[in-house]
Amino acid sequence: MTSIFGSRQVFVTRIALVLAVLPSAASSQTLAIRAQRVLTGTGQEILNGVIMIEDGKIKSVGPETPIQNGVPVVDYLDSTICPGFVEPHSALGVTESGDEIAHAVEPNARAADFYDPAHRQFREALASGITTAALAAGSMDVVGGLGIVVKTAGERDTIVRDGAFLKMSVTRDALSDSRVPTSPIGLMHVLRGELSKAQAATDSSPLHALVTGKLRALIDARSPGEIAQALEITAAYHLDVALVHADDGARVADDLKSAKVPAILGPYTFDTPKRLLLTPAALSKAGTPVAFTSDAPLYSPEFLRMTAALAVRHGLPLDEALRALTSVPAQILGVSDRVGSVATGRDADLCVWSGHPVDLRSRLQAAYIKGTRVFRQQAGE
Amino acid sequence: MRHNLLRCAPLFLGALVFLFATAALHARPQRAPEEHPLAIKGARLLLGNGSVIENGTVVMSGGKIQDLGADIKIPPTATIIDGAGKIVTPGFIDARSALLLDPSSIAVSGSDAVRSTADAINRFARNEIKEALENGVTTVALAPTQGTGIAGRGAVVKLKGERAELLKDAAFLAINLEPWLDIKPVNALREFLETKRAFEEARKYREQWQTYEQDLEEYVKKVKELEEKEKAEKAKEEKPKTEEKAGEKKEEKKDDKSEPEKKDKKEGDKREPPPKRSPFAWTLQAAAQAAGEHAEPLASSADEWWFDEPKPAGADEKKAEGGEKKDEKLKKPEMPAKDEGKEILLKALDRKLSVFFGAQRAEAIQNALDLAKDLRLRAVIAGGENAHRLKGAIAEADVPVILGPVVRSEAPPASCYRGHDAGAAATLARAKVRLVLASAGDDPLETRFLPLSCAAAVGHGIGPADALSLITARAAEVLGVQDRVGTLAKGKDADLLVFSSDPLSAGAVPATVIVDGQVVVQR
Repeated sequence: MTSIFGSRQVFVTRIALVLAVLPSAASSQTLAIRAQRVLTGTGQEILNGVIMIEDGKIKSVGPETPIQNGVPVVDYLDSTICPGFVEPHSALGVTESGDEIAHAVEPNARAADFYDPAHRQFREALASGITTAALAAGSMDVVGGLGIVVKTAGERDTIVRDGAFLKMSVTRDALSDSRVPTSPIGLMHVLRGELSKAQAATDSSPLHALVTGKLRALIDARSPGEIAQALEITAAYHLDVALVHADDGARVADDLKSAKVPAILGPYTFDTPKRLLLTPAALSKAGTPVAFTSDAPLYSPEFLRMTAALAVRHGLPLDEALRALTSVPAQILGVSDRVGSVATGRDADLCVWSGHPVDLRSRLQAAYIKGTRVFRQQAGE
Repeated sequence: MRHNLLRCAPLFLGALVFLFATAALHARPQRAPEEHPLAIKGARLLLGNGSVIENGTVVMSGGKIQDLGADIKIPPTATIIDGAGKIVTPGFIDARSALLLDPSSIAVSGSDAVRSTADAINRFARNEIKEALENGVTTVALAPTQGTGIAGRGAVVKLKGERAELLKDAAFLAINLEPWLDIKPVNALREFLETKRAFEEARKYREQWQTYEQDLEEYVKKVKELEEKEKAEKAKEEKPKTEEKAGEKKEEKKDDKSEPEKKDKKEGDKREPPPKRSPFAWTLQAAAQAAGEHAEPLASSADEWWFDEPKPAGADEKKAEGGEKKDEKLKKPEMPAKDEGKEILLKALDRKLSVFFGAQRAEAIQNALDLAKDLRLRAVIAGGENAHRLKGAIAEADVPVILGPVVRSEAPPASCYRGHDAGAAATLARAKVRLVLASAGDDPLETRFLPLSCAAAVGHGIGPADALSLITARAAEVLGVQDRVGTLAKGKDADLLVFSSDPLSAGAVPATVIVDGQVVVQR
């Protein structure tokens, strides 16, 4: 304990010396953050954790790691650090409606085209602990378009992965009176038609990438019937898929497990029926990876955490709930090499909480993106 | 023989159903034939008012807490629950809930102080009751929370296993100051002015009655004097004629007495008393009064239409006759009509009935504070979305705030939610406002997650040690039921929760829920 938690004054003096000597020390390229507890997002809990950050990336994380002389240290000795949350399905920062409802199939529409990185909603998301968010296009379409994964703050390089997934829907939201499909049966017909066409095609369109397994789809499917349809399409065309809003999926938990399809669940509110609140625990127990969404800004980004808290209240283990906010959505979006966990090589996107992040009594004290602090709780708030 | 029995069967069934229906709401306390006391031993007792007893024991019997403390004697016949490692709290109280209320009872239109929420409770909402109890909510306060104007009287209800029981009827007067659905705020203002007027009219009504009672006293006195005078005169003269005259006068007096009672007099009505009305005209008028409008023209035109016969001339002439015959001073005062609604408003004016103002916007809250000050009401702000902006005025007026919802799922800027601040609870607490947290939901299911609201309030600045009191002791005080519930104390109802971890921590749900000394939930 003495090597780290004593001789603080000595460290400070040495830092001052180093800063005086090095020319570009002001960019704080190396940083050590210490916390009472670090939750890695992959199930590990490290007490007296030390996170070494270099050039915005996590160099190492471990208990009581000795810190080199001259490295600036930030202490959160009463706090818990976890990865910044990854929101897998949102319309944050979307300035115009992201739905081209005139046509049900819009594979080339891109969420990247209509979001404003400076939008206030990103700030609100960050204040709720969300450092990475996926923006999905076309929730009212059968094939809505390509989604993009972005950071919720940062001076530059905020795009994590463009074209990360193709948004699709087999729900009633994708039906319309003014264009095809107008009915669920019509929807399946349209979908099969498009996918079969794409199989025969040779171009590099998103649908062709989808049917050749190069692009993942996020399919909105709510009721057990819709989930079954989505799974059927997935099997028939050998798609790589995750389901969104599969809250009524407890009854088809085994089918989801055998199809190896992850589920994005939520958002849950205070008037959500108990049956749906039990789904995360049921699916997780059956072996399906589970992630949470707040559907921000349709719901407040605060409800990402609330959804997790409600799931825990209804049987989901606490550490699974944290994974559902971090590493699982990162995996679904194909960005787990960059975000979603506190591990060597990942971006230093960290949130500092006064307690466990899924415990509603905890408050966000600070947030870092790529090693730079982008949020600090105001005193007296 | 069998034929008769069959005939009796529906009657018998009907009687059973009737018994069930009445038992459901007003159950007599059930006593097991040999009731053993129940005790929880060696637990951490959070009393609800901030006090803690470590390694404490609670002894319950007869539905009440008989004793509690660190080193108390447990009766030998008691069933003992091991409290080691457990935390015991009072049952949670939701001071503004939509549980057991049908959507049509949550939203009411028009002002009517007589409306009683206790009449609108859905006693068969077993699933709602069960989910609330599973999450530790044992008592709820119910009132129409939507619609604008005087919504009626709220009720406090206790959740007992499968049914709900009235804890306190007519516990408060609910007045809603928020626009509802597509009603514009300017119309909400108009409703507020109507509310003000309703109080004014209640005052006038009281003055009217006071005047009447004074006049009646005077009249009775004068009649007595007159009678004594006449007796004396009679005794002097001893003439039968005088007796007859006196008898006549007495009869006339009797007629005069009965007539005003039949007539329905409106306040400030200086005209001649209207003729005998049809029962329908009375209903129209009562409905009009309840709506706070002057329906006078409507009633009388309906009257004229209803009755083809001419107005009986007798009434006016008799009155005139009576006036002529007797002394002017002996004109019997007209009894004003009894108005239950106004009686209720007078109770509020006398500070015998709390007034819960449903107010979210800052203007609405200010209106409530002003009205409370002018009329010296025992006011409470319910909802209080923007109360944190008026914290100084509210603290100074010593008006409690029932705050809810603490967190909103809808993202801003939905118009009513402008000004929502998750830190509002902490802001109000720091300003020393008397604070209570409630679910304040539109949906019955929202009550069950009251503890989550409380936890979220801690996450936004409420001190962890104070948080529990905001959904237990403080709630009971504001609702006026603190003699029964809200804290773990000797003599209070045995409503308590047993937790295996901090009650507000992630995933914490009560392992055991006890209401009136009976275990209603056991995980």
